[in-house]
Amino acid sequence: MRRPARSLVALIALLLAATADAALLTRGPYLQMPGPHGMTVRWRTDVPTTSEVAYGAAPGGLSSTVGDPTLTTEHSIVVAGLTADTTYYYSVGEIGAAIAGNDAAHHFRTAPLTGTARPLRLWSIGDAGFTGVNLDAVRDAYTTFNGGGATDLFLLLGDNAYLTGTDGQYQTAVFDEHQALLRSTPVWSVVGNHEAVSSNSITGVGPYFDMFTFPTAAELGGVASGTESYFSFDYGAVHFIVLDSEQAPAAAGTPMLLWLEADLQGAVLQNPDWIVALWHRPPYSKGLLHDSDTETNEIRMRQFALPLLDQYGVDVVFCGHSHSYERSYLLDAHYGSSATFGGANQVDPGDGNPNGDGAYRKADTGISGHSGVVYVVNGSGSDVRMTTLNHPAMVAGLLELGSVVIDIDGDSLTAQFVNSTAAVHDAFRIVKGRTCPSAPAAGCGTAPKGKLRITDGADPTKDKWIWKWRGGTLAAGDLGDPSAQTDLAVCVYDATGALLGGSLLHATPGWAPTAHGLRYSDSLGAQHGLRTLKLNVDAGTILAKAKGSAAGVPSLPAAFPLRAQLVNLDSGTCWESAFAIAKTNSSKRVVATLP
Amino acid sequence: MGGFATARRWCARAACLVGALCLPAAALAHADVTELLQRAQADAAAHPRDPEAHLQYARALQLGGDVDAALAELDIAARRGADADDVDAARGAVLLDAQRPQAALREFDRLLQRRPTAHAVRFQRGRAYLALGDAAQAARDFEAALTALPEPQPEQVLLWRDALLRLGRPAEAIGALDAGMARLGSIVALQMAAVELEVQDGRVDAAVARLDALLAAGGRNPAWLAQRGDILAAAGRLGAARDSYQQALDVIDTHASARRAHALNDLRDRLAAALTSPPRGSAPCAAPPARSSP
Repeated sequence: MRRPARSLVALIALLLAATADAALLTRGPYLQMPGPHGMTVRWRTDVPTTSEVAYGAAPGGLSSTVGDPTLTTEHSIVVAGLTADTTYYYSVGEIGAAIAGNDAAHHFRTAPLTGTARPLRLWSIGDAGFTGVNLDAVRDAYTTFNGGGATDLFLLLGDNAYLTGTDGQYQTAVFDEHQALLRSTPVWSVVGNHEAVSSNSITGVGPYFDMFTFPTAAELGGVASGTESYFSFDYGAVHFIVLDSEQAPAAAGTPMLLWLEADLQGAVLQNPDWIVALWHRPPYSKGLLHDSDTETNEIRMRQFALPLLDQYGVDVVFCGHSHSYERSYLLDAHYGSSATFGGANQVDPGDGNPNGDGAYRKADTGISGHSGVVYVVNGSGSDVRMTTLNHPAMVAGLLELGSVVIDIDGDSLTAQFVNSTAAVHDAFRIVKGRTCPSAPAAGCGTAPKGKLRITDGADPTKDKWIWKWRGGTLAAGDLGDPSAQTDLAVCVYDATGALLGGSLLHATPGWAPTAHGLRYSDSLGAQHGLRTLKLNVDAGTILAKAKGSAAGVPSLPAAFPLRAQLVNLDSGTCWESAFAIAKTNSSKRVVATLP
Repeated sequence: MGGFATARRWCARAACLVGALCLPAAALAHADVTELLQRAQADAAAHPRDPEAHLQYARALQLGGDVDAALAELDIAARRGADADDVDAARGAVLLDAQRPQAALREFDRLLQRRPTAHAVRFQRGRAYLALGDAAQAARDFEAALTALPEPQPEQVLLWRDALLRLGRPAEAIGALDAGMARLGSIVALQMAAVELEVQDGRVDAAVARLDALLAAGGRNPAWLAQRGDILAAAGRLGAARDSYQQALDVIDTHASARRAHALNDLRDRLAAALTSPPRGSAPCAAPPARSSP
């Protein structure tokens, strides 16, 4: 938006400003409220001046300006009318005179349109309020890990400035420490208990609330909360929810919970790819300093907030508070003490690690209630403390300085704990949907004999396909236990990509052991039309049969070569028949054989 | 920014301390408080002439529950030149937090006589009055403060409502909620509180209008539509109730993701049952909104 300074007030302000010494930039610039069509740019000067942001497509070409003639040291300019998912370069200063920017370091990228997915990288850091070598190392490790790539959002998980969250402490621990990142990456934060020493999240008063601009009226999506203590926002295809664990609810129906449920109901209708929640005090943590079994606010968040998150399908929760890293299983419906935690609360008993026993998988894309939540304690941003790290909900517990890097790419969300030497010491991934991986797996076991037949019936109920793989090696251990834990996929690819099939997520009903291996049977073919999947370990054979409209037989003929695969999605082990040429390839039938 | 910024700056300088000092001592866990006390004490010892260090140490003592020591430290802060408004506000907050509202009132009165525009302090004085059982004075202070504060919070507006309800003035309580929403917009927590009061007083159309306002501002939330139907059904307006139920059902049925959210799927079942059953009065589908105070 252009707002040239034409008024008399502006002229007077300009004249006044011109008589003063040049202002010094003492904070920022930093970026707030990233929307598809706008960005708020904030900075602080040592003396009051007018405010102006100039912006454009390239440094040296900042052709647009927006300004405010009011004299102030706390500058906050809303740049509106921008194009979604677009990079802008900018400068800040007083009207007509930039004091910083107009170079390669000062830029921002607007958010994708709400609901539009593109790969996102987020950096989250918790309890990072102690300045010094530890915080420097964690920050620099991320810089190294990121390798100069873009960071879409910077997430502060509370206790961002020790000891009491004063403006001065924030200056050193946040604005000076992360200056380079803050001028190009919008920052979000939650209220931690140390912020609560100098700021009051119930009255919204204090330095924390003065220095940040957060949505209160659903400016960036979600439902209006009326407060900067708890709120939500959309960023592309992700819905973020920020809660305030300093006013953890003592009962159902508090203002925060009423808002949370309404916001989640709205989000469910919108059906984003992911819902990510952030707050400070972790509902699951075992430490000598903080124990979620004994600390009141943690217990209350677990009892009163988590049931809503489960019901409406939140995917991941990031907290801080304990000065450690802890990461849970994919959990559901656990609201009691650690002693009450059991296998029934594990949606998936695996570790979720793509380099361990495989990603957590959710059957549906978008949002699905009680599909499991991963809880992360990310509180070792500047300090580690002795903790027992033995909460049974946790897969991983580390007493290491570090931070968490979150990558969201379509139906896949990956979070990695990056320690202070830039090494990844834990990771988990959640993958949504039952579709086949977009590309065939590599390095699969082969068999000398194979056959693939695809039939496009007179009507969709007559569609069918069958794949036989014979004479290869099929070890029981490689197949895992699909009746309980292992995710499998049966997929057929043509030259353009996935053609048929999909995944059979762990515990899909229909699996039974046989004398020679495993068999999946479903007379209705509810999963991709699959009626039968026989895995004969002794004979080294795979037989997959699908039929009906759910089989998804496409228009034929097919684009050769064709590859039929069985993939253990957890381990990556796979078995394949690769058909280079067709025996038959017509509009009604495709047949290919090996040898 | 202008006047708004001026008001916020005042908050940052003085009133923020008032607000912060009114957080309950339970805000920090014991281990945190111990560490905070140690560090704040060390900081005050290292910078004995810095009034801010003594204010922070007083805050730490307050969080640790040591009221007398906190008050003594505030005296030291005052002698070291801390802003008198900051000190008085902090002293009042310490006393209020310590369940000594009468003593807190004296501190707030003194400050407000000196600075009548200290709106955040006036709000805290309202809390002190409320603790003393003087809901009328509390309501007056809440009203004056919340109509002047640059950014009132939903929880503060609900406290104003509570004071008026304690006085047996539900209509004025609704007025307080509306005044809050005039500043904040149609906020769920406030609008639902108003709906509850409207229903209690038998103002069905007003309650429905409030839900309509929420629906207009916050989207076609099926739970709100169902609640709208419940209110109409309870009033015997069964045709209109069924329309609301049907709209709620349609919203859920047209969103596959809504059917995957268990609470909405349960609501769907109840709506479907209500729509297939013979029309009769008072067949609630959605639970009434819970009432709460901050």
